[in-house]
Amino acid sequence: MTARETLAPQVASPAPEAEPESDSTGVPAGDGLRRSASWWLNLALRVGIAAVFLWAAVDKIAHPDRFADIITDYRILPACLVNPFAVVLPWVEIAVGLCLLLGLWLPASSLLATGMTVMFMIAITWALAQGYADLHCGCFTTSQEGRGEAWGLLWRDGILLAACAWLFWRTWRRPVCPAGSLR
Amino acid sequence: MMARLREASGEGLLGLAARCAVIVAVACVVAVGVNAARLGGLPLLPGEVPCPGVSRVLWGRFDHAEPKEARRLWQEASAAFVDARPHEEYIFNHIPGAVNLPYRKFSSSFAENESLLAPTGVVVIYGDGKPCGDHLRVAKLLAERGFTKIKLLDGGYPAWEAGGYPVQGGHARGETGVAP
Repeated sequence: MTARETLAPQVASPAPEAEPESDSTGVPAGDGLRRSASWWLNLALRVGIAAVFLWAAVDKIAHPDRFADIITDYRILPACLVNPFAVVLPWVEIAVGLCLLLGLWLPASSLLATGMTVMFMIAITWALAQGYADLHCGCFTTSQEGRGEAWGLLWRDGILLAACAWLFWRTWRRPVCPAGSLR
Repeated sequence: MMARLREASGEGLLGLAARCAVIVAVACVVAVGVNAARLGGLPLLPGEVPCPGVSRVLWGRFDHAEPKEARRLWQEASAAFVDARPHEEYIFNHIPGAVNLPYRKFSSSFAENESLLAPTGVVVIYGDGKPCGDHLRVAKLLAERGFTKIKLLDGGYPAWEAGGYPVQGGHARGETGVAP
């Protein structure tokens, strides 16, 4: 063993309790492969979920009347709430999508995304229970060609729910925010 | 570490709820503003328009026809009749000469029957009698395609049949009519 090898650990050893800093993805900004994989996974989830919500909102904003008809067909809301819901929901999707895309308020936006997905799944389950198997979910298009099989919609929303809940957990479970973060 | 977690969670829950509320509030403000600015914005207060999904402007463009008036138009052959019910119900019974444009298959049905309907002529649309039923949705879709003289048959097909007016189909209870 050389003198250099003997001295090396004393010089290079890091502080054992050092907290890694967090970036806008909510993933600890450490070093090496682990940090890289987590960072990319969260970024992919953020962008993917944001794209889903932004894409879903565009046609609803363009055709709020058709979206109101679709909401009416679920027979969940009273008639007086259908129009306000049809007008506001797409803009909540836009706001959540933009927050996720830009990395702003990630726990709040991912929690809202989770909540909306749960709401969609409850609505589809309700429609299934009522016997509306050939359902126009109003998910991505308001045109009449946009019908889908309800069980397939539930599976798709289940995957989205898992992604939203995972992102919320990853961004919320870290209790300490770095100064200046918009978390 | 646990103390930091408890402290952060206590503050964070309130902060999380507040941030969620801010996101939703901003979305509400933008949504209401955009809806108010657009010509075909939906009425948000109850009672402005009796059916959801119809703007004040569009609702004002639709006329209504009592069965008696519809019968007159039918006799004079001065209007085209559109049946907005599902095809099975249309086959079962319909107003003679009516074109079937089911809401759920509107695009394909309209493409098949487009030549039978003149956008500038009077079109009487009827459904299954529900005031906010499929006939209203078909009326919206026809209005989008340039039809300007749309009349909604009050009471729909049941009111027409109850009036003893001509019907056509496999199970006609009244007079078997001939298309005007």
